Amino acid sequence: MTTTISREEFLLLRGYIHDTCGILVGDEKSYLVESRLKSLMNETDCKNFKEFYIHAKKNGGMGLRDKIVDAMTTNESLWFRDKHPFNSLQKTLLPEFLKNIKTGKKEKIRIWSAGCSTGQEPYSIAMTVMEFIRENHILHPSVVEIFATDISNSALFLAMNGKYDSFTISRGLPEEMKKKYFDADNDIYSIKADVKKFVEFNRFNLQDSFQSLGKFDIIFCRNVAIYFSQDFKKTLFSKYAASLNSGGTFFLGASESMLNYSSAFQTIKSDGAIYYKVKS
Amino acid sequence: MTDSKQAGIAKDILKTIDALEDLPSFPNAILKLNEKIADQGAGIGDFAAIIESDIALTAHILKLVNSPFYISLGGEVTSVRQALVRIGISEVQNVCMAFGAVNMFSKTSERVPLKSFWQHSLSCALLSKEIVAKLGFSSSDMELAFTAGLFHDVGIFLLDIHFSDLFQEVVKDAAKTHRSTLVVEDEKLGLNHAYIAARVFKRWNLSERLINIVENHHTPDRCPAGDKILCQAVHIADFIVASQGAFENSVHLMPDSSSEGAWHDLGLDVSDTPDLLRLAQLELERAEQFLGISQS
Repeated sequence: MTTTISREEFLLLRGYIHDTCGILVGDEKSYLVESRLKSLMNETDCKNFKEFYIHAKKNGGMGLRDKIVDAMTTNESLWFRDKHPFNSLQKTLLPEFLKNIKTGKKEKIRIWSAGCSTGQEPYSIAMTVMEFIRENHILHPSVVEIFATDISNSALFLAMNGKYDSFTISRGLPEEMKKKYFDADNDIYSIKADVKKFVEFNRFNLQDSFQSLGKFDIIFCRNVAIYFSQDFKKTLFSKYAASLNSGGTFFLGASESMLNYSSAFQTIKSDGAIYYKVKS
Repeated sequence: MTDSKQAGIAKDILKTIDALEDLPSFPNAILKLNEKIADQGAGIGDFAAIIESDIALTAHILKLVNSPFYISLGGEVTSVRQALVRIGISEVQNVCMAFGAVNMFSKTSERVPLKSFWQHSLSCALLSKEIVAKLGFSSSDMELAFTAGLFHDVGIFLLDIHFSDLFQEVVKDAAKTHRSTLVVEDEKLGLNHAYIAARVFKRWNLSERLINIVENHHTPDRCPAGDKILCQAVHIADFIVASQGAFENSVHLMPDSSSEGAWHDLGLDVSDTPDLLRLAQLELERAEQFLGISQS
């Protein structure tokens, strides 16, 4: 068995990945394809990556295709990743919504965590909302809806399970938040029910139409679009723009940019955070 | 680690495993019971007679059936025949299998805590059976899924008992690098606990189907076609039970993924998650009850 990938094999698999799920793997990232698809290649009893490519093309079906997508998109999940989006949410966006709710201009705040993986992002959003409520802001929890989606059943199961080991819990979660919002039992930390109830998890493929999802006030899609091709990014950002209510907010990952992909948003820089507002 | 060093370790492990003379054996009465249950012409009287031939097994069943877990089903039970009527043949068979498995591998160490190991394995067995039952498989397939779930991790015991130093290195490395012991086993030993178990099962002349499922429980998509769905059920049950924090190869590390192909082929998705979580909790409690009784 050959577990290293040749240039020819890399190009074949890169094309397959792009055609089937819109993810564009950078030219220099053959190691990523090699390391992430190696175990799938072993599982399918293929002797090398070329054989694996042929197998995937022939027998891709939903099962293997899903597994390839899963292997290529598995991402590191951190609590309160990049910190700034959560500060902006607590200090700027939620107070604005509260004002609109008090004056009867709004009834509900809908937030979408797109590509939520194992739950760290939507639960970080929920904890931020709870902190806002604890600061004596009168905001009934029922007016906040956090809609979290991912393509992986496995990731969604773990997110809904809401249990994390001590290593996973330590990644970005302040000690004080851990004490407040998790129950600890024998090195396993379970998110409390009052945080969990804010979040509704659903399986969703970002390649599908967004129409059935309704409109959102805030969308988090961080470190997800990095896996997609330029063309798909353009389509995706225009779909996000259409899914946001007037003046809605869009968060990208710290190392990502909207530049060259969409003119539907204006960039906002505030308190160290960069986010995007959909143009009316 | 170089490939040649890894291959050398794997070769040594297999040589030792193949030459082991003191392999534990499964209690005879339970093997006979399984055969009898598969025999369509047999009845409760035959099953009771086999169980009663093993005093320890008889005492265990009576104790369990009279425990608070089952007492709500009726008054005191004084015979195996009554126990069979009270909780059903399938449940008695599960209890017997769990009893046999725990007694077979009663040796323990700091690295493999006996109770949490069997709680994980037994819950996985019960959940595998539930998943397969929901798919409409035959009762013999349900029992196969149960047995595979019960024995899926015994390779860990074998590694720990017979290759203690090497396994200790694996556990330490896994804890240090926050990786599952499975990944580190493959890396350091050139093989893993699933393969070791399959190798020993071959020596025990266990069924090829059981061997296929146990060998591939971490790689269900490699399982031969006829046994793939049962293997996927065990794989998903293992993932679900481990995600409850019950046992993860003696390191407190939750699983980070499972086969998407298995979810797809079993017809499971996110809408089934609340039910699967409820079921997992129920099976963990049931397993704890079985084991609490067997160790008292």
